[in-house]
Amino acid sequence: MGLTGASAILQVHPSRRCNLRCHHCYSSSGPWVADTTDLDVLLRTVSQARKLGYEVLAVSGGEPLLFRDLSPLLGHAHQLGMRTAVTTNGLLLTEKRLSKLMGLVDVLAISLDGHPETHDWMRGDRRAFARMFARLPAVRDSGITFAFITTLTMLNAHELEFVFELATEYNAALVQVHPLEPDGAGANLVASVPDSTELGFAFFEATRLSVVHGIPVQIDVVTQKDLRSAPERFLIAPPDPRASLASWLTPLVLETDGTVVPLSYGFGRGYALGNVREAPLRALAERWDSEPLRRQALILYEELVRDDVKLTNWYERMMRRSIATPVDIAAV
Amino acid sequence: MKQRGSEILKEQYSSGGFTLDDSMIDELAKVLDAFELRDVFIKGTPKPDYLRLTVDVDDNDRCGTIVKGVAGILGKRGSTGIPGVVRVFPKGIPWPEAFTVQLDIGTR
Repeated sequence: MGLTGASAILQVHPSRRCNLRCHHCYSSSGPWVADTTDLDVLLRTVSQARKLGYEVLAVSGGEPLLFRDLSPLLGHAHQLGMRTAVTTNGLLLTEKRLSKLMGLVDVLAISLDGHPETHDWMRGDRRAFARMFARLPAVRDSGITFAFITTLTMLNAHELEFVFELATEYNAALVQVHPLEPDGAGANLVASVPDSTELGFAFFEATRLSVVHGIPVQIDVVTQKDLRSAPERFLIAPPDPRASLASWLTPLVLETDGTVVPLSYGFGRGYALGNVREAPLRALAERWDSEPLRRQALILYEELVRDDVKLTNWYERMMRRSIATPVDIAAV
Repeated sequence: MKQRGSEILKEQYSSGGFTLDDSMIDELAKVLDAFELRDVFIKGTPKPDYLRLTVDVDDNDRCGTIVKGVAGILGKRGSTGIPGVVRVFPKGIPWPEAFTVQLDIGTR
């Protein structure tokens, strides 16, 4: 079982155009960013990812609802037997759009970063919460399964209660708590990245609220118990050469310019599989040397176990290592 | 300087909470009976004042059962300012498939 559970995820960012300019946007998306992936490249890559064993297509961005070819992309994934998830700021979830998405998207992940004023600040728009909130009755009535995804910072663990209350009111299926990552536009928010104290309290509070409200919670942190009980999930063992890529590497990320990287958007370029505009995904996967990635994963694993780190954002730690350790140095 | 979220939570916790008692433990035992109990830790004699249970659950439905059962027990006792269940999910959007449920309850 991989890090994303039993289902391997292909995460795509078909467009970096967005109707907001969030302060923490890891892909530095915005209204004036025109980068888009061609639909034929996307469809081909999704098909090949399916053959490699990926079962879930997660669409992010940018704002996916601004991607003109979202419906054919989701439809193609469904035809291949994949489940689909779309991460959205929610502002554009009109009844018309929701009716188009019905039957194409299995889960909507709607961003909600705490109290309205916190959310508005994070989203860089003082109307962001009000506009998203206005869409929630239609989202609930559409019957599409949705989750709230909330960014945890140093200052907002106590605002999880608000997120859960809204989740209860509008029948959300899940609350996902994701620590702030200082990537892309978020590089300016290093001081707001939650430390171990905030992670611990948020972990505690989120699970309490999950019990009180009866709504499952997903907290994107790794515990010491996770590390010790299932080390194979942290990429430290050599893969079975007969096993599919999806059996151990998830998520696999397709960036807007066609670059395919492991684990996170913006992962160190030296660890990339390549670019699907130059060669098909299958060919990239076949010739990719995963050893540098595994080496960094092992170093990180040993560090986390040795230092008895109780809670950590493992993906962010790997991301930091990938940027700080170019592949040629990693090979030494 | 803005207050950390954890500081605000501590203030809120100190004004909430409930008391661990024998009837709660009995009720919890009934909810948890169907699950594989991995670990139990109880502190305080003769009356326990801190209880930790760790349970492995292998599918969504069973996890929902345990959550609802525990929420029901804790909810009956009024304010739930003290945490009840800690769960660890594998990371993924959003289909967690296996859980470890750890229940911690302490008195005020």
